[in-house]
This record gives sequence, structure tokens and C-alpha cells, in this order.
Amino acid sequence: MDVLRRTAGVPAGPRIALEDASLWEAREKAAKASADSSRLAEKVTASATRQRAQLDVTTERVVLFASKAEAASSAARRVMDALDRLSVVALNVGLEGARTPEPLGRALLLVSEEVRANVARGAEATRDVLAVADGLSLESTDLTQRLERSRQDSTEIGGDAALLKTAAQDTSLALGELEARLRKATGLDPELARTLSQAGDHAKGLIMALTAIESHEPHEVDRSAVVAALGPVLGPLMKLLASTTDERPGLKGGDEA
Amino acid sequence: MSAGVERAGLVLAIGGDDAAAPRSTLLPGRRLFVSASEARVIVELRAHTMVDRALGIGIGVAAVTGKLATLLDLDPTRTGAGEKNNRHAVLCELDSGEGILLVGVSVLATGLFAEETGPTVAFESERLEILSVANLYRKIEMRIWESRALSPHTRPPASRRSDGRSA
Repeated sequence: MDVLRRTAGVPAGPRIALEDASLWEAREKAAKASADSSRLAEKVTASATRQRAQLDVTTERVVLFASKAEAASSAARRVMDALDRLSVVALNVGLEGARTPEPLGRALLLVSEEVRANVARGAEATRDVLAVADGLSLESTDLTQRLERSRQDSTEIGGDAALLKTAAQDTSLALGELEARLRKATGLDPELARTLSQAGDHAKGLIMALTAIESHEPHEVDRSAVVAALGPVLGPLMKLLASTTDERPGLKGGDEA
Repeated sequence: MSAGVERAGLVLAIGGDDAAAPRSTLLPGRRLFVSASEARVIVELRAHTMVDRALGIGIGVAAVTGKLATLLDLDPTRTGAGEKNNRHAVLCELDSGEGILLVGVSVLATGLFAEETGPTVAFESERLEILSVANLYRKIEMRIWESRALSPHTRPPASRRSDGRSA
């Protein structure tokens, strides 16, 4: 009904004007939220891009690390193989030493035993190195898989943020359209609507405060003191309201909605 | 044998030092001593072919240092020669000059070992039986010939039977 009246050029009542102002205020809030969403979505997109770049670099480093661990493992296996062969040589020296008469045979046996003991120590240490290298290789493989999953997640976040930004931009466009329609329907411009809304809020606050004062018992409140206190503020306000009422006859009748 | 005598040779563990007891009845223990008069050299097992099995011992042929040798696998139950616990192959030489390659074993020690009664040798507070490779080879060879003699494939055809009757 009010829309029809406004469309027909009939001036709206004061409550209608306040509701229109609230509409404008809500639109302003929506526009601000939409702009914030767009800006934040852009920041998230940029962060996701930077994160992907960092993950790419980290993945490369981990792959390099894995290849080094693999190389260490391979080297340890070669050392193990060489020690195995050395062990066989030492066993053969021992066999030959056992066959050879004294004193050369005994010397060969001693050499064989010494070599075998050192080979055993070397083999034990190499087995430890091999276990560590294999463990590192396994860990780096697991790390690479986790990094790849993180990269996929980051890509998804970047894509979602881009969609969010697009949605926020669409919302801004829709709010622009809404602004044009509101301007046409309410006859207000955004600045005046904001001011009107603020004035309405202040007036409501004033009414609530005065109502609270009035609710006290007469013996509790010195009304003349209240009037004396509020007079300097309310006097100019009353004059301003009176002049506004003279200029806008529609306000005299109160709520016409 | 008197105390204080030492014998040259090597100590073998059948199927590696941590393997289960040997399956073949020809092998007196899991750890055995082989005399240096038979054992020549420890080699790496390369080209070889398994052809048969008798008395729980695998039999084959292997090329070692450019010559063919009879291969005796003392632990034929494992999946393959040259595994971690069966990494050694011991080339033995019989008096006849024939080469015998023992595989499926791990050489635990070589050198001089105190000989004890039995005859046995002392190794790590254990008395080890002495394995005669020549005897082992002879027994396996005999078993192979026995099985061939009993096989139906080796019987003469029915038309050549001495009694003239058909089968």
C-alpha cells in the first residue's frame, strides 16, 4: 500500500520514512559486508597462491632429500657387498693359513681373524647406516605424499576463495541495483537516509530516557530540576522540530501509515 | 685322537647360522666341520643348474673358476641359493680330482680347530661332527643309481623279456 502511494507521488508518513531509512541503512551494511568479503576473498586467494608456491619449493626439497637418502642407502648396500666379499677373502685366507705350515700359516690365520673382526664391526655400522637411510627414505616418501595432499587442499582453498570473490562482486552488483530501486521507491538519497536513521535512533533513545524519568514517583524526582537540566538541550530541539513540522505538514498528524 | 691336535678346515652352518635343523639324514648336525684337505676355497655362487634331489640334498651342476663342479645343496628347502643366510659356496676337491660345490651353507669360521674324540672338533664350546664330503657324495651317488634301478622307466621293453612272454 505504501509502495503504491509512494509510486503515485503521495508523500509517506514519518514512520514510513524511518522504515525507508532503516532499509537504506541495512543496504549500506550489506554493501560494506560485501566489499569486505570481496577484499578478504582476494587476500585468501593471494595467501593460497603464496602457500602453494611454498609447498612446491618444500616438495622439491623433500624429493631432493629423498634422492639423497636413496643414494646413501645405495652406497651403504655397496659397502655391505664389499664387506661381504672381504669377509669371504678373509675366510679363504684363514683356510689357506690353516693349510700352510708354520710360521707363515699362523700369520695368515691372524690376518684372517683380524680382517674378519673388522669386517664384522664395519658390517654392523653399515647395517645401522642402511637402516637410518631406509628410514629417511620412507619418511620422505610419506612427507611427499602429505605435502601433495596439502597442495591439493591449498589449490581448493584458492579456487573457493576465487568463487567467493566472484559471489561478493555479484552481491555488490545486486546491491547497486537495489540502491537504484530504493532511491526510486523511497525518494531518499543514501546520505539523507543515513542521517534520518541516526536521528530516529537518537529520538527513540530520548523517548526511552524520558519515559524512564516519567516512570518514577513524583516524590522521587524533582520535575522542575529535570526540566531545568534538559531545557538548554530540549529548547533548541523543540524549535527545530517545530520548524520542521511547519515545512512538512505530513508530520503533524503523526503515523499515517 | 689325542688332546692338543689341531685340524685345519672350516665350520659350516647348514642353511645359515640361525636356520632350523637340517632335513637330510646324511648330515650329522646343523653345524659341521669340513677338513681343509677337502675344502679348497670359498666362492660366490654364480651359474648353476639344479637337476635332482636325493636324501634331502639338492644336486646340480655349477661352473666355478672356469670348471664344472657337482653342486650339493645342503639346504634345498630355501627359496634360492645365495640368500642372506646361505651366501657362501664351498668348493671342495675329492682325491679323484672331482670338484664338489657345497651350497646352502654359511661359513662361520676357518682355521685350525682343536680335534677331540669322535672324531669331532671344538668350536664355540660345541663339538662339531666332521663332514666327509667324499662320503657324502658317494652315498648320494649310490642313492641315485638305486633309484634309477628301481624306476619303471629303466625296465627293458616287454618284447625283449628273456622269458619270451608278452607283458
